[in-house]
Amino acid sequence: MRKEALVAGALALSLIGLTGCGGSSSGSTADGKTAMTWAMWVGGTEDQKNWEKVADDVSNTLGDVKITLQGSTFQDYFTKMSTQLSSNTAPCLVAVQSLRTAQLKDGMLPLDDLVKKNNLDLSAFDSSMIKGLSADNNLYALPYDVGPVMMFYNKDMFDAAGVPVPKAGWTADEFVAAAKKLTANGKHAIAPNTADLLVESQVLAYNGGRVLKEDGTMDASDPTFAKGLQWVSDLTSKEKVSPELPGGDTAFSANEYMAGNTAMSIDGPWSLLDVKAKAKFKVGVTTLPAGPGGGKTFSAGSGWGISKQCATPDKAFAALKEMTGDKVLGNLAAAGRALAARTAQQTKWIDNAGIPGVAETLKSAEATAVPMPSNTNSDQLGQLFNQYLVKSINGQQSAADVMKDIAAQLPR
Amino acid sequence: MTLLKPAKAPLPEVTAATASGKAKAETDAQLGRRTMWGPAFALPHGLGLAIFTLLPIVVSLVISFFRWPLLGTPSFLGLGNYEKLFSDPIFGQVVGNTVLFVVLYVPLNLVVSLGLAAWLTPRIKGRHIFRVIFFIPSITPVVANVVVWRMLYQPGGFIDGTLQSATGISAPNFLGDEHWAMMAIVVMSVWQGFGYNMLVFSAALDAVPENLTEAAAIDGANAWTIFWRIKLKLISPSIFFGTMMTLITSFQVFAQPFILTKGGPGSATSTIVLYIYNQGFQFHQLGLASAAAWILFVIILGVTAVQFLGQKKWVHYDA
Repeated sequence: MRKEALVAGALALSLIGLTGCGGSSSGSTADGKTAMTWAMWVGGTEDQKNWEKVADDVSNTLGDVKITLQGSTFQDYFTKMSTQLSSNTAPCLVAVQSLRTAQLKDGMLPLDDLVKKNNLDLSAFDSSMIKGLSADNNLYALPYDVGPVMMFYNKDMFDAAGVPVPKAGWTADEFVAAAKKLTANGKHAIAPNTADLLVESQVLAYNGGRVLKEDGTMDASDPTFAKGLQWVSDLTSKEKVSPELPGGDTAFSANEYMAGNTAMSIDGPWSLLDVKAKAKFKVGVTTLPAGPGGGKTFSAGSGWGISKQCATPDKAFAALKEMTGDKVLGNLAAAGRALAARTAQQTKWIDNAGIPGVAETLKSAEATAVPMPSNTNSDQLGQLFNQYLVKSINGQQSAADVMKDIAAQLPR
Repeated sequence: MTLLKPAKAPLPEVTAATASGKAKAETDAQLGRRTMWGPAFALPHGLGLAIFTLLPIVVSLVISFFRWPLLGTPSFLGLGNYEKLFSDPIFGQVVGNTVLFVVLYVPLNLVVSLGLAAWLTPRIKGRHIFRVIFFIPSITPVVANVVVWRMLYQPGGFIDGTLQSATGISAPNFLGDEHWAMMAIVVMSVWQGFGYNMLVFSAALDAVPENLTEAAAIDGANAWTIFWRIKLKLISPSIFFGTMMTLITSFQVFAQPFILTKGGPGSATSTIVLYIYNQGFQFHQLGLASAAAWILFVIILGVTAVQFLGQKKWVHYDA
């Protein structure tokens, strides 16, 4: 009998070893509270503290729920979340970026019924974000931040070059004229971008060309977009006001700006206060330069939703309501972490920013901002932009040919 | 040792007791008990192998015949994914890039590692320190190495800066130019990867019996002849091992293009494993990714088989 016991023991041990492979989206804590994990991208220790505070505050307010943060870097977040959603190991609360809603929606719970049941007033949120976080006429997340893409500038460099700082609503011609004066002594006016949201905004502002149409469909062969991209590429290869790209690197433009190597950078309000805190120069903001037929910018933001695997969707929604409530979003705005998606809380962020012109720029940019639609192939487009735009920006291929190559690789 | 004793003890009884049926039955039982120990101890590892290695292999083969989105319902495609890959010019380019990487990287790696191993003879003062220094890139995380190399390669970086101050000429935009990017990745990979083979070759060279080289020297052979005709032949099993392992890992190259270039400019540095990663985890097409993985497996299997067949001509095991 001993040998059978031994074999059984070995089998049991093996199975114990395998139990670590399972996962659950919610459970109970020792004191009877509903335990809930919240997946969120985290940009560093400060960011981690911010979000942990939100988790603790909401847990304390609700009393019967204990929220734990599951942080990952932004770059890895969407790969990790897609994998978790498909393998039934996703947490209850899931963060999603507006332009990636369509990609995650199959694993997420439509919130419309819960919104009705809880009488949540959606009109208190920025309407473009409610649209941005919806897909197939269903709302998948409640927004926490919002922001139009805009232009950050280095005021010290403008002053040193004797160029007047740009005013909201400036034109593409004014931008190029200023850029030429700012490019000298190894410094450039602006570094090229390969990040989808930013480069698409730049083209939209220049000539209105877009790959992602208003109805969410994707057309990478759009000739107007190719023309706009050629203008962007010419800033490097013809006008020489931008440096060459050292390979596909979505952070290159922001890094060059922070290092004081360029005078401008295209970015969103979500990074403004972090930039202001870290920059060794005076930061200013203005709208993206508008060309003929352009003048608009994309707005994007993020929100939090509930995964389909969540065993306690009602409790999760109660947590979501609190997380996107006036109190939490007001605190996040005042701390400078997020330009609140609740319009009533936005002034707190603007007051905290302390950057001259930020209110006017936001007002002007928001007036012309359109939500960046989401598409199931957005990630693929973003990846292809990062790989292929290098060729048009560095002058190895025309923008039209680059877009043709990209279009050929996107699923039709 | 205590476990072995009861297993060994019955052996003489088995031969002595063959005449008695009862005794034979007992020894059969003992034998049976003995034969159960092996599987019992192998079971945990066997289960791990079955669940974490064999099962995923079988599942990936099954998935490769489906349109299998990460989220959503799979649908059967038959050979559809394979047909798509074989007719996709980008996948063709990706396979070509991988082969180009292998063709450039493997010989360079072997020449550098063998050259340094030959140089690091016991006569070199501080050879152990050199060995450690040369081995450091192999044990440093590739991500950290890549970040440093990016700073060397970028315009205005170390190479460009040095060249400009010395000659006034700018270096090429190594990672931003499709004609240079693959070469840049190969050079970085050789620096990162030669240490392991160097250590293997160095140990093999140390094991070459001195009496053979001494005898050759007495017969008038010079250092080059001794290296070429004696040492190289005696360490050929190690060279074969190094070649095999380097070939297999170089077909699986991923981290360097993933971090340095993301496969660009265009698809100039996109390799098969990077393609698999993008299809599977960026674009959520697990079926296509699995099919590409099986194509890679067949390529590696084929190349390995050819190597094994070819080794008879140049590998000497009878030293």
